[in-house]
Amino acid sequence: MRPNQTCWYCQKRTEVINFQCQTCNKIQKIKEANPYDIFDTEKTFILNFDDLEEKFLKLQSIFHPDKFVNADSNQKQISIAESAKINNAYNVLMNNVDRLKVLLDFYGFKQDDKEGKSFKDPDLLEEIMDLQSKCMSIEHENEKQKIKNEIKLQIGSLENEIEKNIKEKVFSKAQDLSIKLSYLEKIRKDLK
Amino acid sequence: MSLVNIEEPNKNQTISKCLGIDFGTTNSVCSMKLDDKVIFIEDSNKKTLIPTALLFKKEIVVGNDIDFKKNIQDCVFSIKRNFVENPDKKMILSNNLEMSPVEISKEFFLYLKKMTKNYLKEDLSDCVLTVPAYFDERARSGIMRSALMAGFNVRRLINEPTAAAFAYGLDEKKRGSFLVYDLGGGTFDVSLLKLKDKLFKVVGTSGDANLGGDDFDNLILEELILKDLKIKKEDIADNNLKVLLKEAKLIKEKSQETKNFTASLIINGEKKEINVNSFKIDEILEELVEKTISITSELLNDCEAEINEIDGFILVGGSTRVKLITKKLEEKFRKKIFNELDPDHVVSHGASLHGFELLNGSDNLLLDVTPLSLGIETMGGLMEKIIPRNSNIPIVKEQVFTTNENGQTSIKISVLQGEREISKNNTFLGELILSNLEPKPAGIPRVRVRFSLDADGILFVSAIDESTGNEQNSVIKTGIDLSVEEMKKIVESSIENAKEDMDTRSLIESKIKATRLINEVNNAKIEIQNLCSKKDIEKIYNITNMLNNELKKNNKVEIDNLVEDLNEITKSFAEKIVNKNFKNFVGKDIDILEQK
Ligand SMILES: [Zn+2]
Repeated sequence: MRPNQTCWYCQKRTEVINFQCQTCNKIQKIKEANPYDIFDTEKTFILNFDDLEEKFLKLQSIFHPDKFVNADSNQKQISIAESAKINNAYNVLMNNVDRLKVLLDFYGFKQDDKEGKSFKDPDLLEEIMDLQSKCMSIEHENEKQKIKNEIKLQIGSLENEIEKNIKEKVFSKAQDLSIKLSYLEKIRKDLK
Repeated sequence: MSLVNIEEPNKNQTISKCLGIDFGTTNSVCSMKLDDKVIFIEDSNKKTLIPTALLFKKEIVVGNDIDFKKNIQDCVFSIKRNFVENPDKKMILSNNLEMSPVEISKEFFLYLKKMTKNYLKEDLSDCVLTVPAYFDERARSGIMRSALMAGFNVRRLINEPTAAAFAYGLDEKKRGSFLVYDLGGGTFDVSLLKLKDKLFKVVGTSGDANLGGDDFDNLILEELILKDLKIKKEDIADNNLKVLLKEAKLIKEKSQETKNFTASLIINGEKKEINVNSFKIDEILEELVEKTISITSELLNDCEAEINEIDGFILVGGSTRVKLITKKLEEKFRKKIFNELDPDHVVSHGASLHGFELLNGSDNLLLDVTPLSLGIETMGGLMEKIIPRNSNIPIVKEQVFTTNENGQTSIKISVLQGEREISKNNTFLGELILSNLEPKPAGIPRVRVRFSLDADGILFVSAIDESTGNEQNSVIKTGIDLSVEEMKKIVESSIENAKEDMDTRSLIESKIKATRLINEVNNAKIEIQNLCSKKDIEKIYNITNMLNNELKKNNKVEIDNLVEDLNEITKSFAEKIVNKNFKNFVGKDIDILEQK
C-alpha cells in the first residue's frame, strides 16, 4: 500500500490499495525489483518460508491472469508480467544459492561468478569429493536416508553460519560458504 | 414467525455461463455450472459421454451419431494422439480427404458447439478447455487452435489432472497433498497438488503423452488374442484390426468383473473363440501399470516430497477402472485412494467449475506449472534450458543473443521443449529469426529475446535489438498457420459485436483467411518492393490497410471481397515470391548462433 503514486491509466496522483488505483480501479505494476522488497520481507538469509508462501499467495491472488479474464488487454498484459515477476522472485528466494546472491548484490559485494574459481580451498574439494563417492556407493535405502540426513544437517549449519556472516557483514566469507552450499545442494538433489 | 428474506448482495448481477470441455482421446464431455449444480450436456441420444470419433462421408458424422457397426473401418478415432506427433501434419482419411489433426478436431469442436446449443437452447462460446498435463506446447496450441476455429472463445486451457483436483477440492472438500493419477485413452498424467482453503497449487507434474488405455487394448490384442490364436498381426487387414481393438477393449472391461469367460471374434472372416482369464489379463497389463508407477515415484523424487506427506491418490480417467491399478498403487504406496467422482466426467466437471469462477470472480486461486523444460538449441546440437520444467506459470525469461560472424545480419534460434540433452530428441516448437540487424563485427549486436509462457502454457516470444531499440518481428515460425494469439483476437472480435443471428463461424473462417493473407503479404514486403510495379505496390498496401480495418468490424461480405481482390493482384508474382523465399532460407547468412 503506497499512497500517492501516478496511475499509468488515469494519470492522476492517487491512492493505491492492493495495487489498485483508487480513482479508476485499474491494476498497478509492482514497483519493487528486489525479490525481498517484492514480498516486503526483511533482508536476512534465513527466511520463514511459511510466511513467504503466504505473501506469495496473497500477491498471486491479486495479479494472477485468472483474475483478469474479463479485463482490458492492458491490464491483462500487466497481470501476466507481474504474475511472472512474482513467480520468478519466489523461485529466487526459495533457492539458497540464488537468495544469497541477491543479498550479496544488495550489500554491494562484488561476486565472482566463474565456477572455475570455486575451489580455492583444497580441503573443501576433498570433502566434497569424499561425499560424492560416498553417495555413489550407496546400496541400501537406510544408508541413503542416513546420508540425506547428514547433508541436511550440514546445509543447516552452513545456513546459520552464512546468516551470521551476513549480519556481521563479512561478505567474502559468506560467499566462500556459498560455494560449499551449492555443491551440497546439488548432491542432495541428485540423491534419488 | 416469518422468515426474513435476506437478499444476497450480488443477486442481481448477471451470471456468465462457461462450458467446461474435456476433449478426450476416447470420449469427450461438456458440462456447465448453473446455479449450484454442474450439468452435463447431452447429445441427441441423451448421452453425456461423446466418443471422440468422426466419420467423413458426404456429411460429417460425429460421436454417438455414428453407426459404428457399419462404419468402424472408416472412422477417425483417437485424433488427440496425433497432436503429440504433429498437429499440422496432413493425414489421409478413408475417402482420400487430406486433413490435419487441427482441422479434423475443429469439426469435432463444431459438433460439440452444436450439441450444446441444441441442449441448452442457447449458443455458448466461452469455454475452459482441458489438455493432458504432459502435453507439450505444440500439442496444446494445436488443440487450442482447433477450438478457436470452431468459434469457441477459449478462456483458459487447464491441465486435466488439475481440473479433476479442482472438482475434488471444491465439490468433495478434499484438503491436503494429493497425487492425481490420470490415465486416459491415450495419455498418462500424474500431478502432485496441494489443496488448501482457496488454494489449488500444482507442485509438479509428469507423465507420458503416449501411454493410455489404447495401449492396454493393443497389448491384450497382441499378447492374448493373437498369441492364443497364433495369428500374426501383419496378416490381418487394417479394418479388421480396428474391430479387434474394440473387442480387446471389451475383453479388458469384462475381465474387471468376470474371472473366466469366452470371447468370440471374427478374424479374417473366420469365427474364433478364446478363453479369457482375468489373472492372465492382469499379467499382460502389469508392465504398463508398473511404468505408470515408476513415473509416479520419479515425480515424488523430483518434487522432493516424501510419500508420507501425501494424503492420498485421486484417480481420474476411464482407464483407471482397471482394478490392477488400484491394487498396485495400494501395494506400492499404502495410501488412501479416492475415486468417488466418476472418472470419465470429473475432468469436465472441474473445468466448468473453473470456467464459472474465471468469468464470475472467485476467491479461489489455481496455480499450475509447465510440464516440460523450454530451451534453445546451442552450437553443438545441444539443448540449453531457459525455463525449467515444473516452473510456476506464467513465467518470463530473457536471454541476449549475438552474432558469431562479422557482418552477419540475421540470427536463427531454434526453440525446443523437453528434457533431453541432445536437441533433436526434444520437441521442436519453431524457429525464431531475428533479421535486419545492422552489419557489425561478430559478437557486437545484442538482441534481447523474451520467452514467456502464459497461464495457458502457450509460448510467446518477443525480441528487441538493443543497439537500435527496434522491436523485432519475432513470431515463432513453424511455417504453418496463425498463432494462437492471432486466432484468439479474431474469435474475440467476432463474438464481441456479433448480432444474434449472425453466423459467427463463417465470419471467423473469413477472418482467419484474411489474416493469413495479410501475414503473407507482410512477410514478403521486400520481395513485393522488388518484383512489383509502383502502381501495384500502392494497390496492395491500400487493400491490406482496408482489410486490416475490416477485420475490426464484422462484415463478412466486405472481408471476402477484399481477400479476393488481394489474391487477384498478388497472384501474378506469388510463385516468384515462394521461390525467392525458399532461397533466402537456404542462404548462408542465417546461422545458428551461440548465445553470448
Ligand atoms: Zn487510475
